[in-house]
Amino acid sequence: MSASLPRRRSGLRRGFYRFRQSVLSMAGLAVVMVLLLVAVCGPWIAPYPQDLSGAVHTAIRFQPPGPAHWFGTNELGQDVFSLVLAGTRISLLSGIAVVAIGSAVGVLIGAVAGFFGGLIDDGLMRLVDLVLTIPSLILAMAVAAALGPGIVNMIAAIALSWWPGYARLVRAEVMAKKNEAFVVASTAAGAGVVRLLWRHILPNVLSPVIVKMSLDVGFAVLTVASLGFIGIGVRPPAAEWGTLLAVARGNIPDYWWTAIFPGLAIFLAVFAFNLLGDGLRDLLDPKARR
Amino acid sequence: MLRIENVGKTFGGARLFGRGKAVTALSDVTLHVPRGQSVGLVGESGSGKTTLARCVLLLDRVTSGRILFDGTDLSRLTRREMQAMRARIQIVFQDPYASLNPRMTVRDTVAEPMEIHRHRLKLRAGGRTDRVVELLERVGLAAQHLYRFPHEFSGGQRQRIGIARALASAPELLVLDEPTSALDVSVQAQILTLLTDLQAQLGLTTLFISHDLAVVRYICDRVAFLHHGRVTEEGTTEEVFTAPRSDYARALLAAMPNPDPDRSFLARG
Ligand SMILES: Nc1ncnc2c1ncn2[C@@H]1O[C@H](COP(=O)(O)OP(=O)(O)O)[C@@H](O)[C@H]1O
Ligand SMILES: [Mg+2]
Repeated sequence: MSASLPRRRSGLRRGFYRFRQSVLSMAGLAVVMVLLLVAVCGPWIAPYPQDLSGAVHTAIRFQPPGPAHWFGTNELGQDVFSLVLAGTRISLLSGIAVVAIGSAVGVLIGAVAGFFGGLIDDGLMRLVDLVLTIPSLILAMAVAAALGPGIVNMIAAIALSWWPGYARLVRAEVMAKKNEAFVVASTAAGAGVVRLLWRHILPNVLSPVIVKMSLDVGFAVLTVASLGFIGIGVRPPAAEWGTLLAVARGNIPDYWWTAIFPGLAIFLAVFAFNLLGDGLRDLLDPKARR
Repeated sequence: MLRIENVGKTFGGARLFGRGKAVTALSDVTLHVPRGQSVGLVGESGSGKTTLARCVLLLDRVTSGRILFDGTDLSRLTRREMQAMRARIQIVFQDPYASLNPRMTVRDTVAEPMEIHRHRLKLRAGGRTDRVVELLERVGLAAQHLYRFPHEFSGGQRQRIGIARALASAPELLVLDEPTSALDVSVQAQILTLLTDLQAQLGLTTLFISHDLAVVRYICDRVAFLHHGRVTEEGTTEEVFTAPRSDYARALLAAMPNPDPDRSFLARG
């Protein structure tokens, strides 16, 4: 027992070392950083900003990739590179928003269920089971149909199907932690539920949640794009990867570049967040390595 | 000050869909801890010592009997009164590795009881830090340790932090649940010396749980033996060690390695 915590600490240091040594984890981190940067300032660094507000250049429709238009131009003569850059913001930020909302709700519900147990736990977990039985895309489509299209509705719709995973994860972690001696010590000192959860239990169950969040952002970006693709997410002319892909569907195979680049952007984001998540798992939560 | 009267504690069984057999951890336990004294509770592993401690600390409810603290029945307290009571009864746990939050600094760990009971203790945040330093010095640590995390300390140092936390709300009764049994032998004596010093300085009343007879004989005014959840022997340390009445006590005492321990266990450190 006496060696367990020093081991834990050097485990963290070894984790950092492994993370830095792992080319894939570092690549994931680097790509995620670049994507975030582009998400923040994409529209400003786009070479053809006027194309983002719907400018049409019929003379240069379907230009293949070249020095003037790296990713070519689309059916309206707009620069695909500019559109993909600008699309990063909506795609990535929606994905992050979905995970942020989903994890906040899930952590809260899971923490309450795990901490109180009994009937509260039973009730909340039945709700989780219920939501999990509904395929997330179908649920999102239903919500979008009910609330109407739009970015905020889309984020809410996806987040609605996203929280149960966090609730389950956090519930299990909280149940394991709530009987630890330091939690009992705080209870004996008179701490209330909020203090016990917020200061003692949740800080000690955060690692797997962070790992899951990182992995999930990639899938959330994919879901956002899927909804855009089937036309119930973001509507054109707002640039979003899934929407760009949906419009470009009619242009392939002849004008492949209008579809391949938004597709690659989606692929890159999903892949990078997964690499980062795997790296974080090694770093923060080595037990869960697969 | 603390009166445990005919306390019984049964785990499980009472549920609607009872899961297996009920475990009787305590039955008909009666014990008195007079103010200013140290009472030793001795028993082998699984005899119910920790269960009794948890009942005294209001972490578990007794199944039968009652526990009186200063004349008030602990099982009849309202939430508010229970909260106030928790400042007056504190505990030091057996395992100093598990009993400190790995993500909290020493300052925050020791200050927490003061934050919780701030209305009673009337200490502002700055005053709390000063008091944490005072407590750390009292248990043999120093101000330089304030903003460190538990993993930076040895087992003995962690137990000192645990003791400082237990003293933070200025309790009247301190329950010590095998406070040294998880420590290296060389460190045990230091912690025991610290505890006896604190008891003398602060006039604490303690319920000292242990399975080390030599230690109990050295520290405690009174001793009770717990065997399968029952008190088999109870009396002043002198009586129990020189003229045990029960067979169980006699057998335990006969098995003691050193039948006449002066302070010889201190020499082990
Ligand atoms: N939460 C619990 N549920 C069921 N049985 C328990 C629980 N806590 C303790 N026990 C049982 O009560 C008995 C006494 O345990 P404990 O008080 O921890 O003994 P000690 O501290 O003397 O080693 C043991 O048989 C143990 O299995
Ligand atoms: Mg015990």
